[in-house]
Amino acid sequence: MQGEGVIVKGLTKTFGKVVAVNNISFELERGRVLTLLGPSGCGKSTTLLCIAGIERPDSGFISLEGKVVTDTSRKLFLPPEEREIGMVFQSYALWPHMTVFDNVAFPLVLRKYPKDEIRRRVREALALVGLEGLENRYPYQLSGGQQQRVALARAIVYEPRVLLLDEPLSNLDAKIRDHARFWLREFQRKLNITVIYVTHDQAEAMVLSDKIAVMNEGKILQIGTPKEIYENPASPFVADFIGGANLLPAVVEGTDKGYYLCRTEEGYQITARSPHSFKTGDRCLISFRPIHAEIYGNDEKAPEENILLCEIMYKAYLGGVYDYRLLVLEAKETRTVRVTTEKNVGDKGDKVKVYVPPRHVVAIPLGS
Amino acid sequence: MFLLLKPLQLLRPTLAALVIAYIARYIPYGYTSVTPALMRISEELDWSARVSGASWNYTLRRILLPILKPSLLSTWLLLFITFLREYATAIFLYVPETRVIGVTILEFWNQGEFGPIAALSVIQLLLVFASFVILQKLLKVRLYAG
Repeated sequence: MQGEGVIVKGLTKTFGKVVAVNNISFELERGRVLTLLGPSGCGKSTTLLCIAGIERPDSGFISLEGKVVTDTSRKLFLPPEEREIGMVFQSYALWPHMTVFDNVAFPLVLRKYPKDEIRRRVREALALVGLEGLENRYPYQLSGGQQQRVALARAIVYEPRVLLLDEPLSNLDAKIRDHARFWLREFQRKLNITVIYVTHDQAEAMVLSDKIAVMNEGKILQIGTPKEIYENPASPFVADFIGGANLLPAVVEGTDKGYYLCRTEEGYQITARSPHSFKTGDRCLISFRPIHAEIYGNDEKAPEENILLCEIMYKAYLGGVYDYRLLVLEAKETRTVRVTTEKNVGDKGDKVKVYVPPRHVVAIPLGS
Repeated sequence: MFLLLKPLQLLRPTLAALVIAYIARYIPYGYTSVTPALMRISEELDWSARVSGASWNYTLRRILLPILKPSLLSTWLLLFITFLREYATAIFLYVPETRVIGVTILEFWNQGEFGPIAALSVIQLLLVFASFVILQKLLKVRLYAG
């Protein structure tokens, strides 16, 4: 289903002198999932609370499926109860004095639905999250995963315009969380509901999202599909935050068939691709992922180009792969890169060659 | 207060004066006893009711007050017992028509009549005990909130 989902324009929220959200804009189609991804304190939760109407933004415009809920230029601000949204909080926020049934029925009861309609809808919602038969339990009698699903059932039971999820999986055990990501994605597809999801967990964002907005210090640094964000990071922060890229300062020395020839500060020549355009002499950062680099022993035959000479600082066996921390040789200041590979070459102190295939190296502009 | 403010002098010989004085004196006790429970309620409990569609008022009645109920009831009990044996506040304010148990006991004491004192004390004890039992029952049923 296509159509207008969520529109946010020029959203700004300050707390005293701190700018929590700084002029954020994005659009999301109906039935899609947008994840606000960033470290704690980046303004992602505040953005969500502004959309929910719990925080009042200093300025900005928000509409949900065509219904304008905030427009500071017209002094329009609807309270949360008039926005028809569903929301799941990190703590699940189930009401402790009510049974599962009463918790889920609450949004329907206050909307004065008829009794049998309430019973039918609550049963449907609980079946949807796989919790049939637990209607009469109290929240404290449920596991974390079950509580989270009750919160989800409560949020969708009255068919809200938008579902807002604030780190709903972060209180679950790692194992359940892995499963819950996929489950949540299936759930969203089944309901075809528009979702705005907040998390600091990159893997969660990758699995769940149609679009990811990477945030830092109150701003959206990049917005795009998970693949775009991962393969073409727009800034060093995005490259580092998604997939922990290795970043090396370099200067562009020329172009060759769509690739940029760069020389790192240490003097290594690296060929990189880039969605950005550079001129000869521009400074940039070259970025590559730990899993994309190949490692060769000092005496081994390695490709001639795109090679960094390094010394092993630490090496750890992670099960299946080795995780190397390598000291880049010839560097003026200590510079390290990380490589994960199945290959077992040398030990601490040994010299190695690191090859990075040009298609996996991205040149990105300096700056945030 | 009743001496300084003219309009309030009308209240002076009534029970209302005692009620006001008692409340004024014991508000801090009630406050300190309810606050911990109030602080334990996370704002997310409140928010999730609001986004579900509940007004501020509805949230207060259906979410906050029921969660606070055990704490409010036990605070009430604490203050009820305190008020029942209280005479230090009343002694400055009472008139013959508004003698509370505490003051009456004190009067009998001055007159050296120990029989009525014992009787009143027993009544006091029974009242406290009864209210305690009733509330205990109420609280036990409601104490699943933890």
